[in-house]
Amino acid sequence: MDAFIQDILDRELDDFAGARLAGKLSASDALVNELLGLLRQQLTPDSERNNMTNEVAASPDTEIAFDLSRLIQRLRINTLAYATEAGRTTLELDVQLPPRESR
Amino acid sequence: MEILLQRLRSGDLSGLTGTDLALELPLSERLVNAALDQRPADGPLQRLSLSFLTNEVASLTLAARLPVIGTVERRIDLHPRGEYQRGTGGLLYLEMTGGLKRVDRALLKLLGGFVEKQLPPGIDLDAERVTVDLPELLRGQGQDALLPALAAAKLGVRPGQLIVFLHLKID
Repeated sequence: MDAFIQDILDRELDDFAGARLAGKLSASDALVNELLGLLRQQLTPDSERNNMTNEVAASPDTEIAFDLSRLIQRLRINTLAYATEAGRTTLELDVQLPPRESR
Repeated sequence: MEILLQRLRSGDLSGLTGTDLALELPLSERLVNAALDQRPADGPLQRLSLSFLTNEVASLTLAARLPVIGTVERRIDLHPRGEYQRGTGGLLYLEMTGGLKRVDRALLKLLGGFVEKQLPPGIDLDAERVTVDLPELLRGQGQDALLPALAAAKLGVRPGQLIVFLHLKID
């Protein structure tokens, strides 16, 4: 199965050309803080991580290789708007992997 | 993003209340056929492939070795139908137009016996349609924690692609 998934990634997700995600992503403050904690951990040098109180388990190693930044560069972003309301953060978004004919 | 996916998989949607997303996910003909090719090589089906040539019509080609008769090949048109709605349920179909109804009983019996064993729980094949029971399919894959986030789903076909439409809404 790993080879099957790696093949999809090697094709830079061309198998999903035209995929589109649109709507509202809403996250609570607690979730946002959890994400910030993870980010903080990633930005912390290995030698200092043991001192962090809110430690989160590191991602398991995987043999599947994929350059996420290349995917992000190819995304067509029609809408990306940030907002806050009581206790929540929302992201209005409309993003698309370009259809084949428009590459 | 990984932590969001992990939360969804574990059924913890508490931090995402209010999320309302429409996902249109095309699957290429290459990908669908690569998945079909994952079946065991020693079965009676010599060929099983799908092509998506026009809007809203998929074409299934299958070839099977039958006792006495030899190799039989059929091409069957499939039309996406049905819709899943949270609360009321509903099944997704790929409905056959004619094709399999004309196939001799031997081939139908063979398909019923062999293909059914290969299909995961939640996907059924009979003489008129391929049926997808989404909740049962997700349960069979150990992904039923995603069900509360799934408000609606349906299938579509465009040239070269099978389209999965999902409405994700977390109340």
